[in-house]
Amino acid sequence: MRPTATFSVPRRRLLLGSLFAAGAWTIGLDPRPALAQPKPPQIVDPSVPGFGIWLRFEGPGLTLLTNVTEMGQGTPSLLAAIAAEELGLPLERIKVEQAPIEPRFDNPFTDSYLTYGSIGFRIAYATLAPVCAAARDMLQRAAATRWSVDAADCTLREGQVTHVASGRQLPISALLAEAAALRPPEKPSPKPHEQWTVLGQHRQRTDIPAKTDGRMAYGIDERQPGLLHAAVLHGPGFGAKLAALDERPAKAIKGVRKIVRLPGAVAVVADSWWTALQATRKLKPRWTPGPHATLGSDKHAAELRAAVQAGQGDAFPKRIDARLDEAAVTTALAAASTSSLEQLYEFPFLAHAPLEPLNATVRVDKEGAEIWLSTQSQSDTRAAVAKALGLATERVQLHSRPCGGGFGRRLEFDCAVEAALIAKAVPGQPVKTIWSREVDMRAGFYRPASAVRLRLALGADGLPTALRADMAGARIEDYSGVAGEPENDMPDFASSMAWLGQSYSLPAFHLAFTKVDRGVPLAYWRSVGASQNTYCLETMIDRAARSRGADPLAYRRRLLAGEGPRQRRALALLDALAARAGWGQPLPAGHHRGIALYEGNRAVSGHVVELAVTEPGRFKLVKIWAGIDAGWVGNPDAVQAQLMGGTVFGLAAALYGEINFTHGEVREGNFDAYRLPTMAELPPIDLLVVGNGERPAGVGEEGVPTIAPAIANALFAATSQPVARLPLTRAGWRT
Amino acid sequence: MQLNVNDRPQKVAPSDPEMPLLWVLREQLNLTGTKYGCGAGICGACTVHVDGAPLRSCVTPAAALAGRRITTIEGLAAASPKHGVALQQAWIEHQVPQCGYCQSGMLMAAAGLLAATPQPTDEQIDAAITNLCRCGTYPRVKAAIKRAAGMTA
Repeated sequence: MRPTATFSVPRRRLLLGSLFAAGAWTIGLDPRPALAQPKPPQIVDPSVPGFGIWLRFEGPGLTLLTNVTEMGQGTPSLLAAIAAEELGLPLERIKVEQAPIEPRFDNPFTDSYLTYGSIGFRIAYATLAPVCAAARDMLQRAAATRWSVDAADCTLREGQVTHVASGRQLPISALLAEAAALRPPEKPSPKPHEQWTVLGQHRQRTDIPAKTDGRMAYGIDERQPGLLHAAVLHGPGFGAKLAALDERPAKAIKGVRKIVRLPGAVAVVADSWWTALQATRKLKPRWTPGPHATLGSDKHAAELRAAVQAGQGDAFPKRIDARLDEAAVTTALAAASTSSLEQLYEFPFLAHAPLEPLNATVRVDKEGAEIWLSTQSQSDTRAAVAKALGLATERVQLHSRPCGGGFGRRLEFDCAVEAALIAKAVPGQPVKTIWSREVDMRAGFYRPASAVRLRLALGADGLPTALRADMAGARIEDYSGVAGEPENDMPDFASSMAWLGQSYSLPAFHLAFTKVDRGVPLAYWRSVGASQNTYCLETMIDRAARSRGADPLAYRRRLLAGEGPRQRRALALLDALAARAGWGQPLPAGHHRGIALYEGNRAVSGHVVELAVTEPGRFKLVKIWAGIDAGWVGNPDAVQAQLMGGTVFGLAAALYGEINFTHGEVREGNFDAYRLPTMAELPPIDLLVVGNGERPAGVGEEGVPTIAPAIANALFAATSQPVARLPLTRAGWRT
Repeated sequence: MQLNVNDRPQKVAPSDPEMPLLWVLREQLNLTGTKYGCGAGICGACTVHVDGAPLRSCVTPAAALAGRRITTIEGLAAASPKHGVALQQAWIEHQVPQCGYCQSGMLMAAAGLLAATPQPTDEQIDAAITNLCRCGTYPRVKAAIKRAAGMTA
């Protein structure tokens, strides 16, 4: 096909997946002692004078450097508020700039320059707040020395340092030189969250005006002198190799400059992209089929089902959670044989389908290479391109552009590497390779397909005593270019997600995974394993509730009864959401409600859905209530936007999203077959944002996992039939 | 051939009679605000105005548009100082865009709607705005259209 994630780069960092696993978060303490806590990196080095690399004071203003990718979540805009909060600088005087793509600007928690997993604000806050607090401390000490007063009596406000008692004040800029000569404090103290006056307010994002008048430039908009354009053809199915090609039909087209043959692709380089595209349509390459040329979705689904029914998967290790206990689960299931529940769930491959299709502009010459693209993984992409071109990394300059959608797809550098190899064939000239929508959609790096056999043992009181999940699918870490080295005893990361991070009372778990890999490249898709496992857990909870004649909300409240702070926090969001949705109020005939809850990335989120079943197999969404407890809320409007966006993203997957294979080839190619909801299909969506945590939480993914199970639970309420397959069209439900 | 784009005559050279207006705009006139999302007229990211009415430029040959008045997102404010400008202000007020890639098309579709129906109902907005947004900004798009309609009432 085209180069897949074979260009792995050296791993020094924490495994990417470990930042997701089981809801744990490596910054701050996880309450379950079984999970080993890696030491957080040192952010401010007290042995080195100066403000550090992330701050650049210039006159009366400040420029912040960030390694966070702007892909619609607005995080870069938020960073200025952190600096304003800590340094008392007016927001108008603070600019945010993309940091150079150099190792010293790597994310210290991942040892790389990349953005994913709802980490943007959390990591940005964890790095920037101490840096700014340190600078504040140094400015206070500089003023204190100047005025022979106590540093603690000097405050920073409106760009001034003021000694309150005497009224002396100086602009920050007047103290910079002295302050920069000082050593940072051992323990910088960011402003307590309760004292925030800038953060936590709604502020307009700085990137939005350019997104209303055509000025915002994405990777696909790159302009370079002498730019050529490339369109590509990929082989049928993954791993296909180019066997033969008659170039003449393409070469005959005016404007075509070169045909480039790659192992799994053919590229046409031309004066315009349209010409290149037309030329690819004239070519009829012959391909040698790849090893999985017979892949068909029906057979694949049968393999996944068989694997989970066999129950011979590899168990997840007890070290990740003390409740993992196969023997206890087996005993509990046997003891509860008359009141245990079992369900087989099936999930398809899903495409990310960002609206800006993958593309990259590359120029290769004798000295090195330059690449311009929308990306979430700046350092890994640069290293992979360098490796593909046989260059030292320092010889590749990467210019990062805001993404027209990322969702995890733009962590992968498959398109970038291919574009570099195409440009290498036309040395000295910049070549912009754009994947057509069809090529983009069929290029792989999907959310894995999976099957889950879920068993839940219920005790005499109706509450679960044990949960067993046998899962099957392929592993993202075997394909993703940004996955770290898997730990030897972890069968699979995505499959471990969302089960153990919930605060429900569930004393014993057995999680097992069987690898069934048919060669489909996989990637991290917004919310990753939660997109499947939360669906299973939340619909099974409703089955358990019904089996005891319990209301789904009341049943969950019992599962969350307890004194622990996490349980109380989850319960608070659940109650607030349910109250807002009027849970328990009478509904019109034919209307039903469903609820679902999720905890991950230090956030709590959920949905209530009201729908009407209009005829057998057909329903209409009446209203959606979405809620999130985002811990410390940096910008409530931006959190609302992510909650709304995650809801719609998850809704697409719930209703009709699927990627299918026939004879090894992806069937879906465009938005006719891979449907996305339109405005007309959305019911009113109510958005609840609260901030009740001990630190910032993730918000980018947290709107996704619960919309599908909330709909399924409403359908279950309507019909008493579990919905165990997504998309809903496959389970016999249409809107 | 000549095209009238944003009130200026522009000399363009479509590479073949089928070359869509989208690629002429983006590559020959450096007007990259109009976007490629699907190439099949489905997503609407390529929406421009032709004689004031929305049109999907990825499936319309440039050659067919000689003598017509073409407006892109870059020219919206000038061509539509009432509705276009109100929409752009409402878009900022309501913080509509997330990644923003679909928003040029959304705004052009919205401006076309308000030109024809200055006070649209929800149903009329739903029927006119069929553009795809992967980030899920639809509720804010709708609110901003109604706000702009209110501002220009």
